[in-house]
Amino acid sequence: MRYDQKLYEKALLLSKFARGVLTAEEQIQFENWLNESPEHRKLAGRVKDSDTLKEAYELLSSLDTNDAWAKIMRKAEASPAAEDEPVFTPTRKRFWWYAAAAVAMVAVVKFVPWESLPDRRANERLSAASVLDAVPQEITLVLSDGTKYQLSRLPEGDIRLSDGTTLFKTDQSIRYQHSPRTENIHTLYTPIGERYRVYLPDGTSVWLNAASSLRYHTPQDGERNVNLNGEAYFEVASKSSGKGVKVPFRVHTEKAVIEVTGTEFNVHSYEGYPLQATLVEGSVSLKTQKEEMRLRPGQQGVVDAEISVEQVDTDEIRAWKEGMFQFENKPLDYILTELQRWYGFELDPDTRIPSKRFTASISRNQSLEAVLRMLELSGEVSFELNGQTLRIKQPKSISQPKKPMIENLQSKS
Amino acid sequence: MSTKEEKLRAVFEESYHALVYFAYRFVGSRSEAEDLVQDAFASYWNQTGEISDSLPAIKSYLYQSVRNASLNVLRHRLVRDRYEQSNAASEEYDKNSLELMLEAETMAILFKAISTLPSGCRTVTEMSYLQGKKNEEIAVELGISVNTVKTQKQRGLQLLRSKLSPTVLATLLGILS
Repeated sequence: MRYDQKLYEKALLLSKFARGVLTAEEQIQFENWLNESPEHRKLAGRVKDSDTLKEAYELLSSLDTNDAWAKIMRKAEASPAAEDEPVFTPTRKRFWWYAAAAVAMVAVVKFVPWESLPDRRANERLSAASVLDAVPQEITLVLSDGTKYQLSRLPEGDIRLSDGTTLFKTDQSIRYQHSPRTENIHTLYTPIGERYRVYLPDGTSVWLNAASSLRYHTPQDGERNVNLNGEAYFEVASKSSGKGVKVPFRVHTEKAVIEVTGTEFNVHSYEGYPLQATLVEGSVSLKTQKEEMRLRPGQQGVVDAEISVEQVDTDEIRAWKEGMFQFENKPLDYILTELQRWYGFELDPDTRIPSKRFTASISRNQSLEAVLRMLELSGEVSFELNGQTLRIKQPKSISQPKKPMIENLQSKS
Repeated sequence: MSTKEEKLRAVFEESYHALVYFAYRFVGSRSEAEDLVQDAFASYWNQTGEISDSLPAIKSYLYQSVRNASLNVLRHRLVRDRYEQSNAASEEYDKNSLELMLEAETMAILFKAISTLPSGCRTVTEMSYLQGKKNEEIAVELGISVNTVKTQKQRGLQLLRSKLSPTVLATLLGILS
């Protein structure tokens, strides 16, 4: 009973069969497989059966992976060997690791944007007003009069701010409930390594990525305008005026204004980089001083000197709000820049970044060490992390022969 | 760098769903299935100094481990319930393990593909594909037009096609040169 590449490919084929998206070629492959045995036919019947699918989906969507992982670690530590030790506190070891990671993320760090040309040194790009000068250490909400609220210190539930606004706060979000008559301007800031969600007074949901800020009015009567620096994923609530006319929602960034009516899109607007606006659903128009461009779902508009539009994989763009890094054939310097925003490390100014590309899907819940280790598994790159400074070593030219784990285990017993 | 925990975590994220489904097919209870799979991960952790770099090897081991534990549970039940046909049921599962593994992997792939669709698409796909609701029903329930339902279904299929593309590798990390 072996799991291997072949089995994986069969599973993919079966999935496509289940969804009815086999290509003509795959259809032939599939039919050959069907004919190999009655068991195969039975299996094909099962994956097409709606009751089976429903049951499977319900089972799998009810799984809490974080909880499951915690249980695994607890079970692992409660091994026979550990029980013999006197006064053994399994959790202490874990605590050190998390504490170290937390400290690493909160430390104030200089942001070093990266150039892909090998002979350019990192700190040449550091402009006078570094973006990170404005990045706080905690998620902060600033009111019109300058009052600051550090959201992690506030209790969950209903909260009333000093200007009369009421919010409902959860661990990962705030939702605007009641706004006072007088119009206020609020700004939400995220630090390195944390993303946060805000439900604006009109019901629009905004996922704000790390090292970003969003400024908006409250209440939002009439047209809805917000100001974004950084990256955010918008799910805009549809709003109509009294006459039934759709009220637009506008995102103002340094390089362009993005105008929408009821839709889902991602905006990537970090200082010093081109603006990238990606439309997932609905309809959006990008406006600069010179031109205007309408986007269709799946399209990304890039604003640099001018607007250019291309078709993209929206999954890759949306991955961050689902708590993942997703890179599709991206160069290493791009990957490192995204990692820097999440983990806040510095790049050694003398280090060279090889122009290699990677495809990876990695959870953002992992430590930086874990992510770097995964990139290293490719055998294409090797890192050295000293405190908060990252260096890239030359990759090993000779790879070591690897023994499958099963052989090792059998020889042990 | 603490690599053991992170490596196993990566394997876990990749294969937990499939393994739980696999165990569930044997034992029929979600909580029991989760326990079995978690135990398998925990023993692997305890028995291993260095986590293998080969995901297929680890998964094979985990599947074996979960299968053996599941068969044990089934045998205990048989003994407890005093069935005459002693090991008939467990033997059948034993024989069909490969197909069960394939079924588990397929269900996990489908689940991950559907649950990561954008929200509008996902809801419509769940309602039509999984719950078998008709376009008109869905339109009424969600307060959208039938046309929108059809569009969302189309998009769902389109996106799934690309998610289920055979270039995606089973390893933790793929490289395109």
